[in-house]
Amino acid sequence: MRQISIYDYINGSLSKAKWRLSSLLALLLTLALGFLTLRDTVTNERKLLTALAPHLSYLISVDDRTEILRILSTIDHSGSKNISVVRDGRIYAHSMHSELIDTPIIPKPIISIFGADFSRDTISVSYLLPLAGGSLLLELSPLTILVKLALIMAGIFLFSLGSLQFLTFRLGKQLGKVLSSVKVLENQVQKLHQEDHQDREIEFLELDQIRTNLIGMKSNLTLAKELLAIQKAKELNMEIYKRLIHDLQNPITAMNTLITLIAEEDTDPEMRKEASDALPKIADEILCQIIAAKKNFEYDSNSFKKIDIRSCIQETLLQLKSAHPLHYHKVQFSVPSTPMFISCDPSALKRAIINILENGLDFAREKLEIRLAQAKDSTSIFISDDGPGMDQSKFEEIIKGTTKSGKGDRAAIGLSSVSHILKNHNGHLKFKKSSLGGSEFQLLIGVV
Amino acid sequence: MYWLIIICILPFSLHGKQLIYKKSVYSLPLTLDPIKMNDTASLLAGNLIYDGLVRFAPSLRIEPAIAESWIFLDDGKTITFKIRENAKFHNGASIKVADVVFSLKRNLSAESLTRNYFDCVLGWNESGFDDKMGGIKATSIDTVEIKLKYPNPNFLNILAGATAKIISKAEFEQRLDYFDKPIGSGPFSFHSLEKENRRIRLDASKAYYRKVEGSIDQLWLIESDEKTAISLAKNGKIDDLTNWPISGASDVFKTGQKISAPVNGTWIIGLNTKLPPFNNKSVRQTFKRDFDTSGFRAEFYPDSYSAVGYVPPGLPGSSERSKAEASENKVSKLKIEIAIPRELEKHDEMKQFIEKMLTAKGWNVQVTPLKWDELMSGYSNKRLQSFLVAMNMDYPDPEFLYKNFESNNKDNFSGLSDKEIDQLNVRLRAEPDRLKKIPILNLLRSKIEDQAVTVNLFHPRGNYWVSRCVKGFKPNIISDVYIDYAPISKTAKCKP
Repeated sequence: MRQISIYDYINGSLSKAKWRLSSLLALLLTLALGFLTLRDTVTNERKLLTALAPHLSYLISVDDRTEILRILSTIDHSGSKNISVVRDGRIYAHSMHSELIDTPIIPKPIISIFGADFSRDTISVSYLLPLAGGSLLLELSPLTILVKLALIMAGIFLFSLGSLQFLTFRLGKQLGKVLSSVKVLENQVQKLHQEDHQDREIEFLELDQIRTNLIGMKSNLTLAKELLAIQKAKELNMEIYKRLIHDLQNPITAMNTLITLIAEEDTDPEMRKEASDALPKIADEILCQIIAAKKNFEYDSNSFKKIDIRSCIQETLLQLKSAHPLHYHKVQFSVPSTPMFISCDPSALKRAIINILENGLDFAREKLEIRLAQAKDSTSIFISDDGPGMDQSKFEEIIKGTTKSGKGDRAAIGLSSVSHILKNHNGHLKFKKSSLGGSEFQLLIGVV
Repeated sequence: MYWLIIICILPFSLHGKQLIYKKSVYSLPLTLDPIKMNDTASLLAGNLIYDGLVRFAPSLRIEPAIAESWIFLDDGKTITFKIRENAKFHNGASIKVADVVFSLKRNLSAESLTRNYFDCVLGWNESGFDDKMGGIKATSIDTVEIKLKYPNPNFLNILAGATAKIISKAEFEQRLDYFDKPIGSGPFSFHSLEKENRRIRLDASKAYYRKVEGSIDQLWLIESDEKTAISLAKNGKIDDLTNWPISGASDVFKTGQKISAPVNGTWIIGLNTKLPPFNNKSVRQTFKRDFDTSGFRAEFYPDSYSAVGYVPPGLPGSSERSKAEASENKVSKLKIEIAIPRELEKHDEMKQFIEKMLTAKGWNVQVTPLKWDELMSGYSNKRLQSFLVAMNMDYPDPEFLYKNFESNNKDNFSGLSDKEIDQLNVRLRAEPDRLKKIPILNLLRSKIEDQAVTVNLFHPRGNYWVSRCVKGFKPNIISDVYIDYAPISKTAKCKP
């Protein structure tokens, strides 16, 4: 579907080409009407002649020119047409000009249409009188009458067209004023908090009402958004709490067991030693979980923005470069040429990306590749490395937080956090074997 | 300041310079009394000065004039005219129904030359008009009713004619010289008759009810002969030669405008049956046969229509060819004098042509060019053996022409007295059905042709010359008498 502003649409509708087409159609219509009028005129004149024929035939047969002249002049009282009776090739009687009587008739048809002969200056309708002498009755309508008619029609047409043009011009101008106000309104909706009256020539009550309503609606929406963010933050925090409790349950249980083993007198000394060795590790694990939770608590759910993911990645890479200058050379990122807008919490997303990238840098031998892909309802960031990789079976357990990765505690804790962040973006984290030989993580971000 | 003076002076200057339309005529009117008019010159002036109840449009349609409307009742035997409220005489007086009734009754009086036109009016009789029968009366302050003995389709034509004019009753009764300085209600008012200058001056009437766009201030009828008239026209001193029967080939048309149209008229040589040798039908028939009408037409009026009968083409019954032939060859040895109008440009050539042509066939003929008034006098008094005249029509119906042969008609130039023709004329007028008129017309035509009282020379086609300065000129198919001068304009500054 083509999108166009109302202003442009109406402006386009009044284009010169459309006006020319309308004018041409109007002209054709006028010509068609003129054509029909002409046909009707000829038909009517023929009917008139047909009606006159019997009586005129009789008057010719008795040589009563006086009566014929009177009849013709009565019919042609207005002088709009000339009627003549022709006998033996000469005008026997003429409605207008007695000086034409007894002069030879000069045939001058150029073309015959509807049974009428059109010459340069006349239109003639003839009717053969049923007389032995073969007398002919001709009706001659001066073409000037039709020219006058055509001129009147053309005058009306031009006047109508001119009036229409003028009215449309005025209408267009007024519409322009109205639509410019709509345009201003649109601009104002875009930047609702900026009061701008200077672009508007006229202030329309309806538009002002819409403007006021929209400003109110915008305020309400902002408030609702803030409330929604608070609510969401609460939910997120609750989720973090739950996850923290869930994540801490096993290590604390283990720590409890170890402490019990250490504290019990009948514990085997070797076991007690192992327990004593294991206890700091478990404490570290608990600490890691708490740090991750702390970071999640710091997550600002109220900061969703529409951003170009390309710039987000680039900023993240700058961070990565400054933190890991020695390994950064492994990173390969080909920036797509077109912008890829997504709605997200940029800081959270950056943190998730940097988590995966740091893991990648740790395990990648030579290459850490970043790719972007955008589908209809989602945007994906693919991060793959050529490191030793990770067991696919372990991935789900790591994400669930029930086990540690075989490659390092930090990684497992990071993946769990990334997963949380992506879920908050209606997305998820996917893992598969990389074509480079190591792991490939897909950070899928949905529509928020 | 200079411009202010010009602006102030300009209207007065324009006002002072009147636009004068000069029409050449072969004769000044012999009378200005409408009921006594029997010649084109008088009818022409009468039609400009007077108005009737109705008038002929150039298309021959009957249009309202003093009557703004009319209605036929009683199966066409009663006509009620509503008089126009704003109709005024030239002296500013409103035209009342009394003026209308008075004027129409004059048409039926014994002194009227046109009384026979009105023989269908209730109360008309051979000797006069019985007013008690109520044939013509005012029925309200603005309506006049005319009752007819029988429906006459031509009656409106007669009322639109140049003799059924309305005059002012009050002025007529007060002044004995009414027709010397007539007051009418037509488009032009009488200004003066200048006999020494042989012209009559008319002013455009400000009281005329029709609002037309004519721009003439004065109309002058200037008498001359045809040759002089053409010369004046060529020199831009005349605006109008429409009164003259000019051939379409005349070189006068190298200047000015040429407007050609048919005219309901006929040129004849009338034969007087009361004087020898034309009191003999066989002589008349032989004379008619021997007269080379085709040659005469070709020589003098080649663009006119060949005459196959007395009635011009375009009128019912005109297309039937005459079958009348001379029953015996009877060339008279008596001297025959044929009078022709001297005003015609080619009267000498006509004289030579006719004399040569008839002498060659054994006739003793002398052609005499006469002044128009002398010719008309001889025509009216039936003193002439034969005469060349152009017969124009008062209204476009053959009935008008055939009336000339009724024995009781004062205008019966031939003096013919034929009961059968009289009866046919009466039947023709009384017949309202056009279809049934045709056989009567054909019969009448054959009877008149058989009597051979006219040599039918040709039917003219009017070739009207008007100056290039003249705008709005429209010919009238009846005759030049009915040309409407009210809407005619003249451009002051133009090249004639």
